[in-house]
Amino acid sequence: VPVEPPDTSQTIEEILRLRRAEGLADPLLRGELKSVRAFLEDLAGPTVSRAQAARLLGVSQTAFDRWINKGEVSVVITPRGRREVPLSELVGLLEEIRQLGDRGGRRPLAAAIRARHRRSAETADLDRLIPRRGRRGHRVAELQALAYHRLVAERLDEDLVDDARRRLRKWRSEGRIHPRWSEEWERILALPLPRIAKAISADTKRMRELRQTSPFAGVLTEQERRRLLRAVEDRVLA
Amino acid sequence: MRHREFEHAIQAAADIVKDEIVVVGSQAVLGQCADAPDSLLKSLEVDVFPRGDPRRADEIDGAMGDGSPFHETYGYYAHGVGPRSRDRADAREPPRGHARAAGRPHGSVS
Repeated sequence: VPVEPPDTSQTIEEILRLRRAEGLADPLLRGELKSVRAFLEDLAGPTVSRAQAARLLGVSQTAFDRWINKGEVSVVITPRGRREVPLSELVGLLEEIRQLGDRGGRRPLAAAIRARHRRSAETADLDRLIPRRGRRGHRVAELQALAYHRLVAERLDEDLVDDARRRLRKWRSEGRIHPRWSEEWERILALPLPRIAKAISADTKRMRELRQTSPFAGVLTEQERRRLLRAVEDRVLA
Repeated sequence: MRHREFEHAIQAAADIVKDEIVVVGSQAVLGQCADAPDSLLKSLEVDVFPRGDPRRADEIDGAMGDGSPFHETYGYYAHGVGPRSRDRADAREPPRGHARAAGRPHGSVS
């Protein structure tokens, strides 16, 4: 039986509070708040048990597992072989529920998932995301990564870029990314927003390679990402 | 990707498809050699397909490919390279060459 550190729920509450505060703070203070949040996120750990996530989301574990089995809530398999909820997924759902407030009704998790679906429906127009010509010269995975990054580029803001920088720093400090790639990403992430958007959307050989080590992982919801992968694949292999 | 991260990725892939996993390409050496070259350890990606049914490589891509929650959470990922994942020119057969079986056949997931 997994033993949860007693303060994980409190840590997650503090992470949520900091995220709310970041939205209201001026840029300088926002940077400071993000550093504190990063510390708390490390403290909470990368994943949360399904039982604890269900408790925090206000549903039974049976109901929660049903959402997971339907693919509506993301889980990852941990190094210990457990299916657990990524911290980012749990925080995202809790934020969605709180934003919905009373509109969430009696089943706030279900309402939050419906809200995600509405947003993922916007992903349908692929023409603007993948090149019309030259598809045969690409692997499907490359086109999927291109479409993913073009969609990220459309939504790019300072927060997403900050998150990507933080992720890149973490990967670099843990030795997970070759300096050759991390240096190139650092150079891109130091550009002004429009130029970052243009760079990550480029259909060039260099960017096709670079996107394989992208720090923009986890920007789309899992529903959006899977829908995008399927749609690109169906279109290319049709 | 360190050796234990490689093992994690392979076991997670095996758990997803409940099948034995074949590792493709240079990363396969990580499964055999604890002292793998530094250049391999710095890769975020391992290319794999399920031995029993390579068509199910897409499920691995969906669950733990690039951009996935798995990638975001752990900083590395598995790329499924089954027939559907590749372009038409080489869509008929799973990739050959530097392939090696790894992972547990039917991982238990709690």
